[in-house]
Amino acid sequence: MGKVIVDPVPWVTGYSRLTVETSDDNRVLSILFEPLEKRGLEKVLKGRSVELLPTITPSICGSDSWSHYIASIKALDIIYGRKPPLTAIHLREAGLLLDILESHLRYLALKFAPKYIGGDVKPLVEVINDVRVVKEIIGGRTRNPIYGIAGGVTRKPGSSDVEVIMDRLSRILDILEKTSKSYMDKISSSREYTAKLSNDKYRLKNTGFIALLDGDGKIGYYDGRPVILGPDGSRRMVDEGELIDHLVVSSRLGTCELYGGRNGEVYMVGAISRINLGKTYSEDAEEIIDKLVELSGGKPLINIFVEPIARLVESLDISYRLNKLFRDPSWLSGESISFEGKRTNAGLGVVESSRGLVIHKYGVSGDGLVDDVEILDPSGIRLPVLNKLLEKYRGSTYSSELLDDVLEIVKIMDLCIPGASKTLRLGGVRG
Amino acid sequence: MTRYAFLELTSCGDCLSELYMNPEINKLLEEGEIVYWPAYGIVGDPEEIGEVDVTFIAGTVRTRRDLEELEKFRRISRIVVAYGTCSIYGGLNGLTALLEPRAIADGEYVKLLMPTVKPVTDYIEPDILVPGCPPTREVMARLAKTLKKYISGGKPEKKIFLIPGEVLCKHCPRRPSNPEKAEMPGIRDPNEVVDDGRCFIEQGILCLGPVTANGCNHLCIRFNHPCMGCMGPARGVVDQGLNMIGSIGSILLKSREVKLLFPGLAKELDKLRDPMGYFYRYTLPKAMLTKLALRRRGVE
Repeated sequence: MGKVIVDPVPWVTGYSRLTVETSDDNRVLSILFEPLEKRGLEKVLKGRSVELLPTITPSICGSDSWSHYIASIKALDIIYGRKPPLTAIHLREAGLLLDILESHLRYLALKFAPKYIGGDVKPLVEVINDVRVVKEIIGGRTRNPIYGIAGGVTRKPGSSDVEVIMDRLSRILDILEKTSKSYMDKISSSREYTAKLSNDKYRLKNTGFIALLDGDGKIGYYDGRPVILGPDGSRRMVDEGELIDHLVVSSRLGTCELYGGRNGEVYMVGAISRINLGKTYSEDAEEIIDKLVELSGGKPLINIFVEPIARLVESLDISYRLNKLFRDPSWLSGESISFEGKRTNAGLGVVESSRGLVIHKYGVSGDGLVDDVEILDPSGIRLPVLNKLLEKYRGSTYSSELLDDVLEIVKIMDLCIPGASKTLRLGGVRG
Repeated sequence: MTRYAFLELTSCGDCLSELYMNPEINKLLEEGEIVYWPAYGIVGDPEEIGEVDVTFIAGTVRTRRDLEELEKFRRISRIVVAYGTCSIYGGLNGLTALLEPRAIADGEYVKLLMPTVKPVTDYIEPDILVPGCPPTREVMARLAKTLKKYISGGKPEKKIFLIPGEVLCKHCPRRPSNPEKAEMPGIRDPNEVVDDGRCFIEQGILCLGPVTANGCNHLCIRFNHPCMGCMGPARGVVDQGLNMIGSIGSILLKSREVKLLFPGLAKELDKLRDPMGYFYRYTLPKAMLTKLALRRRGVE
């Protein structure tokens, strides 16, 4: 029996290990991807003053820091019993969308385009720089924003800020419209990529999808409700609390069981799930989805190599939404905080991030200290999906090409280990 | 061609991506070569990489592997940049300094961990220190400018700290007109205060400006958010938390302290429910109390 260990695994944020076990006749017996970065940050959230959590939890995953921040602020809204005014909701939503957009573009520019598009990433880098300028105007920083408060936001952009925002957003949309068309042309004519899209090896098996949708069935990044598309094709809306119970059956770190379902099924979250379940706002984005469906053989999209195009679709759709939001910024004239409300002892915040669902659930004691924390990070939800995909290699003859193929899947999955490797359920594991 | 390495130790994982995205730094990198950055597919054995001109290191030393990598890269690097508050003071990651490995991991994973989490600066001498969570655009520009001086060779004669180090309050836009008379009227939850634009401390909100180094151009303050201390202690401040407690002690209800006496002041201080979270959010591994607690546990 032999063992091949890749340590550290490339193309992954944070520290992880991949172990391939082979038989005497060089067949793959098993492949396991394990997160090895143990921080324990979630453990020290217990005992903190609850108002501090939005400034600590973004550090769970640096590249999805805004999503954790906004989920945390939303949980705080409930704990303080406040309903943020429309101005605050739009500013929070805008910040969240910008962060997802930046993350998608970084992924496309650094992980996808160099190999499949021929390295033409300049337009994407230009857009990333514009996105970062707008993020700073809205939330103060490109990472770890600081504009949230229970019931609102602490600052509204001024009129000169709005001018800059509108100018940059319009440029972002313009560039992305052109880039997505040229990328789709290149992808459609790339034999290597289209072969991957139709290869059964990359199809997710026994996998469901989860995404947040609004009342019209459109993707609801900031305030959608969770909808599950089961592996059997059943579709249902679930309660956010129920979702946590549904996903967590074990906190055994590094195994397929982390964030798995009760019946051995796993759930994909993020761009693929969102475009499988919800509609976009932009017609251009819908056109790309149609093309993608055609290339990969129908809906739901279950090939992992759909992920980059799904992110391209969302990038276009998000920039469309942002432009629409700021086209008439009269909503900015309203109040930015509401102080009215009665405190409660529990709060839940759910939002989407570039990689998928982020859930923060806090319990608070009478003196305002956190006594219960449950946080779901999308990379943790994606881990079992990855390991399930790697099961397909069992029985294959081991070769360096096989290993390259496996590492390519890992790259496409885009995991953030600091977020994925945390310990769950401080109060014990149910299941 | 200048050879760069990106070493990400245990952290949130984004500081170095932020650095890479900065246009001025990116320009430098494009003129050179990145020889190590696993997160973006550039891997290799540090022993075989050869000499590196500049290694950017972010994060904390939490695992044994973190320490091995750190020491290897110090050996092969002409210039080491400790990038981000985690690498200098522990940062948010450092909040776990008092957790034993068994509280963080189980089974075979426990063996991977060091007894506590420490910043990079506790193990090696970096040449350039860049605090911030993450460092601001201005500080990154300063870093680019500093690196340009050494691209063709050499290294700083002594450690360069890339922020001025003066106390944040000194040029704060909310600085009271007469700081000597400033008084903290009590301790309040920032979510409960209708901000009137005055100094946060004068409104009863805990703001770490009095003990924190200015390297952010009052970014949080300008967003109507009190300072959290992410730039680390100001020059002359030995322990950010203890010094902050001292500051509060000197201005909390000072016009009424004779009337209230100790019981009255203590009652107000009881409202400070989470001193560790408020005062040591970014510097817990450097706190004297942490060192004392760890020493008692036999951890040096």
